[in-house]
Amino acid sequence: MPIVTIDGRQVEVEQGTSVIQAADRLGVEIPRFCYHPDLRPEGNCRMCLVDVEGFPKPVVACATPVVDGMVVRTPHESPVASKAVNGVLEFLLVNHPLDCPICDQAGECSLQDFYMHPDYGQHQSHVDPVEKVHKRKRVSLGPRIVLDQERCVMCSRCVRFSEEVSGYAELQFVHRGNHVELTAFEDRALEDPYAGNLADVCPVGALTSRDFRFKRRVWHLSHADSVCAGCSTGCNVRIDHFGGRIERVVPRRNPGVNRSWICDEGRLSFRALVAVPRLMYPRQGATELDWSEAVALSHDSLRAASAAQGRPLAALASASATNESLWLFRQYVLAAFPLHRLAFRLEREIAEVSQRQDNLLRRLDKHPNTMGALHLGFDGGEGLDGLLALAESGAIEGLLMLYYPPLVGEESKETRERITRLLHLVPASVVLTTHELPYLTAAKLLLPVATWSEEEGTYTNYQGLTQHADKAVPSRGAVRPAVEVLGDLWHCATAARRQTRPEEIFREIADSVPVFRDLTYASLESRSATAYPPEGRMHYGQEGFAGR
Amino acid sequence: MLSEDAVREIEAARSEEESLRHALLTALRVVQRERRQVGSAEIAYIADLLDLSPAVVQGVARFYDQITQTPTGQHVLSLCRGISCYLCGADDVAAEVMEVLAVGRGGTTADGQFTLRLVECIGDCDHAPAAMVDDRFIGPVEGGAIRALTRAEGGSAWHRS
Amino acid sequence: MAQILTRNVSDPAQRELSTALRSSAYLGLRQALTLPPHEVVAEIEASGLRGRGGAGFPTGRKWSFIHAQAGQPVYLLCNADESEPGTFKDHYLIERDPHLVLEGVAIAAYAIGAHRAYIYMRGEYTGVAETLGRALAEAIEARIIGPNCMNSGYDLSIAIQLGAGAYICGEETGLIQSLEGRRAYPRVRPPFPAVHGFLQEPTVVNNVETLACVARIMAEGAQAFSDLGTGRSTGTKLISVSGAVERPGVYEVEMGYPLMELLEHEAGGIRHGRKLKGVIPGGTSVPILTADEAAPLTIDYESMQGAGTMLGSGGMIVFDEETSMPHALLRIAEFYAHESCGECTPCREGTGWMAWVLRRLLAGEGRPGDLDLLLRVGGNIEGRTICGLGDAAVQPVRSFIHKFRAEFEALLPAAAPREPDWQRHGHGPRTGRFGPPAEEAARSQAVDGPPTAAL
Repeated sequence: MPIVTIDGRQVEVEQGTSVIQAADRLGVEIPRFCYHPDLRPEGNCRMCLVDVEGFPKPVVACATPVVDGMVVRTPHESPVASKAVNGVLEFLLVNHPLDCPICDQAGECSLQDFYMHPDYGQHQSHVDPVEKVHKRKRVSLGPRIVLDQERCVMCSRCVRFSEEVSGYAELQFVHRGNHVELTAFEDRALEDPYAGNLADVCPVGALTSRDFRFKRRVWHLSHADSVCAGCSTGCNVRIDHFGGRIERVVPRRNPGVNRSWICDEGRLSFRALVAVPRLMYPRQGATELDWSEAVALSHDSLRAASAAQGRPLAALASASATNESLWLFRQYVLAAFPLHRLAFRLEREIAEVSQRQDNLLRRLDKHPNTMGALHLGFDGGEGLDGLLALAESGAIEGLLMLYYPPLVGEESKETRERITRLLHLVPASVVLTTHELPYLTAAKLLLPVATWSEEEGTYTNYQGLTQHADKAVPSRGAVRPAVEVLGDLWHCATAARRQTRPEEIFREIADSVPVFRDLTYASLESRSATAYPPEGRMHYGQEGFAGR
Repeated sequence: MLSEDAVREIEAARSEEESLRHALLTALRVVQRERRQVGSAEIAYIADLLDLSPAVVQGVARFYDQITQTPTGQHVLSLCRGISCYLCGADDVAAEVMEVLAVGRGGTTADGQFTLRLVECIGDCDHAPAAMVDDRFIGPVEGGAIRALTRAEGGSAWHRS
Repeated sequence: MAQILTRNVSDPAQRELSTALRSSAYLGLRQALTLPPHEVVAEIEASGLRGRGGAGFPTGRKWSFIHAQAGQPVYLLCNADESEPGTFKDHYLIERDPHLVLEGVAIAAYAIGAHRAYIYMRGEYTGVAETLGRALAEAIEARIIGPNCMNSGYDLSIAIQLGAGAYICGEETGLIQSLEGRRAYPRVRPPFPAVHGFLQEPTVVNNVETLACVARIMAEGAQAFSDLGTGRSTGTKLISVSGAVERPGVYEVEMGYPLMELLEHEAGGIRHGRKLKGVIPGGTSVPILTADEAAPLTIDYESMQGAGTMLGSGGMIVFDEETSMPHALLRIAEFYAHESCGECTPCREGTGWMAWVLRRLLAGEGRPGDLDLLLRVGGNIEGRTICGLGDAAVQPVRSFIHKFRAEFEALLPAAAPREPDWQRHGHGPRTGRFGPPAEEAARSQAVDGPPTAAL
């Protein structure tokens, strides 16, 4: 395999690797607008010009394949490359509106970042007072995206995304020369269900997210690496939050799962968290309880309803719960209820877990952890419908349920009705859930638990890939992570204390369940998505340029 | 929207070529000839015909000088302003023509007969100042000649043999 | 004068197949079809033929880069987009001897293993395309081109595609993109068209004149062709002479023919008895020559290169003593700004910027340093673009300013130089890693402006 030297550092790469990919691997930062690891290279921005020994003039790193023995010097080391990139930056400003103070891309604008870079930025600011070519600003392209034509650097990432990735091809350039404009036909609202990615791939403030723009300055945001819980694909995301509020969700690159993309439904799924009032306190009917009361009452009522009668406990945990919650749920049921029915299926999860909803990412199963539930020994056959049949025949009298409403779409009417019926039929019911949902009000005891983004845990996607999601924001009210509540219930059953830190629970899972063997949080982290580009700064990220 | 012949011409390009998209350039030319413009309605029509997104059709249409967003007159008078024609007095000719026709650059005469375009080198430099009426080269032209041309019906009297 | 390509152009009937056949049309194709394709390639390599479109790349070598897998389609594209200002030879040749061009297309296609060829003509050549189309129909009718060409077992179909008005379609990858129904944005290389060209398949793009030469070489032998010319410039060249001459037109000259001889004799000398001021020898994309520089030159690749210019497309544009060079340059600069496709940054922004500065100069609003600004902008375009249009746009700007600088300086304000831009605008000098140039550093010490401009 060819070995290339970049700024004095060597790396061995596969045949066909481009110089920019090799540099990314080494962590040598090469500025770029048009290059994107998940789009066909086009080489139009000319920002990635590098100096290659033996080549008469600088070449673009994105479209130059590495050959063995190649010696490359980037703008950090080569005055030739630095001058070339500096010249390109100057060109980009000739017709740029210079409206940074009112641009929402500020703080994550590649143009700003590059401009300030000591190795190739900061040209003489000899901005020739040419009459700029003016184009349209604030063009609405539907509910997701706002276009500013003047800020566009014509890198064509969005055009390529819409042609090659989503296939909707709704954005194109028109005209020629310095009159080239990015436009949608007749400014039609974008129909692309992946349109949000257009704002992500845009390196400048030309395409911004209508949902996020002017909400926060990006440098005020905190970040948590997570996994989308909107369906069984398990796209890698980053949750950006401020003051305990989620402001936006953006993709993290994971070539094996979602590449650099997420669907709009997943991107906006955090909205579902606040669309319905949260369940804030443990409750028995209309009476609020404190946690110790609630836990004891829950355990006692379930014990009374099942063990005393010699009837099995119906235990239903939806596959939107983390592996850790599911594991403790199961541990508690096994410890306290020798007779039990352990199910997770609300609908057709198993049939749909791998079924595609489209050709890109979305899957029909809107539960992020169906595979996890199966791996952890939940019964895939007997679902909500099976338990309901049992309840109707009077075979069960106690129900423990861990229920999360879907983040994408709604629970179907049939499922909602079945849940309600089940709760009405069973004399003793304890439901751990997140929201005030009308179809759960028949539960005898309601225990508020943390939602996705409020707790740490792992999900196993349709491929059987277990991925780690970090906690982003705190819970409010008396809400606690399900693992803690289940730990308390387990304590009621066994009188023993147990570890409820997700990482510890996962260790226990790895020790007990063969599929998870040898996995640890640390190993999940190290194989999980990378920020793009690797240093993180040039697009999304919080670190500064690696100081050179 | 199009005559049967025009549709057949596009269909021929479609069926003959390797991909539908390949027929786009021909489609744009044919539509421009028939409709004297490729505006939004024409773009939507072509997109439908070739199973392309209208944005794609628009992007290609707006790349070429001969495909126009708004309707041209009955005839397009193209005056070459390439360097060779410039050296042979093309600017003077253009000024005179604008005066005679009372139109500006890109404008269409009041009677809708002529749209005046000042174009880059049209590859007829040995007849500088070169010009075209529609697809016909008519150079070398002088202001007086254009005066005569615009009187001749549809400019048909002007064809260099 | 040596006449290879223009032997039959004076007879209007040459467009008809019957007449063309009497003057030995398709003899070269018949000859080629008796040989295995690689021998055709070898013959063209032996002739020393170099591409006539402008770059001068050896034609046989270009063909030899085609290595198709069995069953993989290969395409030959004939570039008849001819948009280089001052160039009209392909127009002339196709209009007068269309069968010669078709013959060349067929031979080239055979040599590279293509069964499909396109002749891409600029949109303005609709009438010329009709002439060529009639010739093609006749050739197909006569079973010269089509399935089983001339009973050889070789199948070839040729299509004529008209463009719609864009200079960049003459750039080979721009042409491919246009033919595919895309915006004619040139493609970054590698991959080269020989590997991934039209529809991502192996493709050769050859100029009209090049292919006409191919036809003659196959008919008359590589030796006869390479006997003509000088050094590595073999054969003849069609020169389109235009501008300030008495008899503009297309002239075929043997490589090595004296430039002044062509201007003074064939082209009838400078018009109105004026003196020669300068001449662009190969279309506006190559540097201009002053009268003194042009005087000793001959028409061939080496001579032109030795004088710091290029033979290019052979579009010879003649300037007489009365020409204002800044005005002429503006016209050229506006051409490139208009025709820049807008794909890559330096060309998109730089061509417009250069035209803007020239307009400012000619409007009497020139600023001290504008000439250096033009040269600097040009320097930042050159060698940094996807295709050759960027470099092409810089050549006239740089050569006009260097060679006719006094005319440009006369446009600058006479007043004492104003302070540099960055002082008036409160912008600081560059303080990058490599530091500012010494004189800038000295200047910057006197300034207390903010270190950088807001974007």
